[in-house]
Amino acid sequence: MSAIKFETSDGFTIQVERETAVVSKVVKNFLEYHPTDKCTFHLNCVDNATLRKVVEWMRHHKDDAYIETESDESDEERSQDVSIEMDPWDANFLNEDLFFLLDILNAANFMKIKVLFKNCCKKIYLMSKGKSSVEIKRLLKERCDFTDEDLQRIANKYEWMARVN
Amino acid sequence: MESKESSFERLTDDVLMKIVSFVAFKDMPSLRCTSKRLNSICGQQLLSRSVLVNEGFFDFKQQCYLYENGIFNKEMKIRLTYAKMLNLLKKTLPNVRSLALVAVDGLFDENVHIIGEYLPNLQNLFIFEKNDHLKDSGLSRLFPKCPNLQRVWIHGIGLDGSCFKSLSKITYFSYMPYYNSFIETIDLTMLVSSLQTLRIHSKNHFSFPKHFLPHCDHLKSLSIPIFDETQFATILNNISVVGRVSKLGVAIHFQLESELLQTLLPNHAIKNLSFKFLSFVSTENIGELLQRFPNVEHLCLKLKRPGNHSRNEVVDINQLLSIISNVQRLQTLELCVRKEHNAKSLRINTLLSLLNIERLRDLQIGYLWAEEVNEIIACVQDYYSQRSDKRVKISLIIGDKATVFVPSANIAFNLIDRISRHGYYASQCALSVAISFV
Repeated sequence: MSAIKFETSDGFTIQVERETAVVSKVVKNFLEYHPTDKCTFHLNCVDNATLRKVVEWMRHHKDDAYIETESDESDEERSQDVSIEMDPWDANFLNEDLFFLLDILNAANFMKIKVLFKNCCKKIYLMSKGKSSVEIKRLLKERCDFTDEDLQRIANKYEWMARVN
Repeated sequence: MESKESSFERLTDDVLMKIVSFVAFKDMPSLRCTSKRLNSICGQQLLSRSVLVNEGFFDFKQQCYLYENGIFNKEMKIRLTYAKMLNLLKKTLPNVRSLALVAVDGLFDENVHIIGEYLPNLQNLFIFEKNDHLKDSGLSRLFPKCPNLQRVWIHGIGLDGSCFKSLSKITYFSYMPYYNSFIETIDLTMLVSSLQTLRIHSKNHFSFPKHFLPHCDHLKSLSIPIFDETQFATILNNISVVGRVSKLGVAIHFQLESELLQTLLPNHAIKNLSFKFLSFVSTENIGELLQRFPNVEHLCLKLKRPGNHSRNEVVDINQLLSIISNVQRLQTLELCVRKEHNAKSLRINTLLSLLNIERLRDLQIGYLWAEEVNEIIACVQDYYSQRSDKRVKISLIIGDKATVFVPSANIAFNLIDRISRHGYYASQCALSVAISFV
């Protein structure tokens, strides 16, 4: 049986079954043009812990029909899908701290795993949902580069958005 | 290791944009206040947003219609008057393709066409009006300005159909007449060449336009109320003869008799079937009706409480389930029986025989009493511990306030409260029906 290898940024190698590996669009596209049984993908922005997590996700979802049909052409159509609901297994799987989540997000982006990428985005948003700007800043460790005046101006300008129950 | 660094500094603008695209309008102001970078990304992202829901008035039923199709979405909700919304569309949201106006203040027949001037690329339009302000005249000025319209919902508005003269390309049309409307039908002849889905919701007498079905070349999905026997037979047989429609939903507002069922032709094309019985129907007649649709994969049956019938004519849910177990190709089942107090409770054996249907993947059943729910959860848990090869997603609709015991489950039960009809996964519970873990 053929196997695909991934080499991580910190020098580890993980071997993955072909049907799992092709969940990643990068791998899938490569194999379509270069049919081969053995090859190694160097993931120089993904570390070992992240890759293990991502591979676990890929294994769980390798048989899902929607992974197959997900193509770049339908991007326009799918941009309308902004519902924040997700598969409960995924929601549970992604219960990680923000930093790890960002690593997974970056890996999913790099490896072109759309559903995982999307669900990471949703999860990150859900962490900040309903929080005030001060709380979000603390969560993201973001530096505030606004003056108080700026803040007041922005708050007033977009007040109408917050007016829904 | 990276604790000094701001979390989002590690992300590119593209990735950040994608995260921001999920952010609800109401969460935008606080996100914009966090940093200049986020502020400018939020601003850019808004320009590319394609969905907007303006909800002037909360209406539970409209919410269901609005969100069931996956086009509109609760996070994209705002509450503005019509004039302010138009201003917003011009300045901040020029790329809206899907717009929902739910009882928006200041929307009239005279000004509805302005949407078209601001959003010429509009594809999906949902309008719900509760004061009968809109008519065919306003819409017939709007439609020519939106040549890309594909899906249209017009709810709470009495139309005669003349507005469709300038609208010939739409594929999806959902219509609910104004509740006081005297217009009992609608002229849909302009839409026959393009329509794929037609849904009509009406509690008042409504007669389905004649000569419509035979000419509808692309119709695949039809959902309508039927108020008398002759129409029922005509429409259903018409669909069977043409054989293109694969999804059918009928709200049956009259008492279904077996003589009528004898005249129905079998229909092999229907895969997705939904019946709502608003008058009394016997279990045998439901069985007889289902036999006409041998290839059904998705079935939904809703039985309302019959108004003027004696109490001993209660539908037996167990008998109904054993009839349904005979539907060979069933994949999803939604069964909703309004419960009488003297009704028999659901027997576990009938439920298990249902779970044995080979292709069944999704089961939603209700209304159940608390004891039944607890018994089912325990039993199904047991059933799956022996058969790990098959997983059915089970949703239970609970009929009363109840305490439900969920064993630390590896199966996610979806428990639904009858009143709010919101689903909650038992593994992450927050249900108004109290749930305890044991």
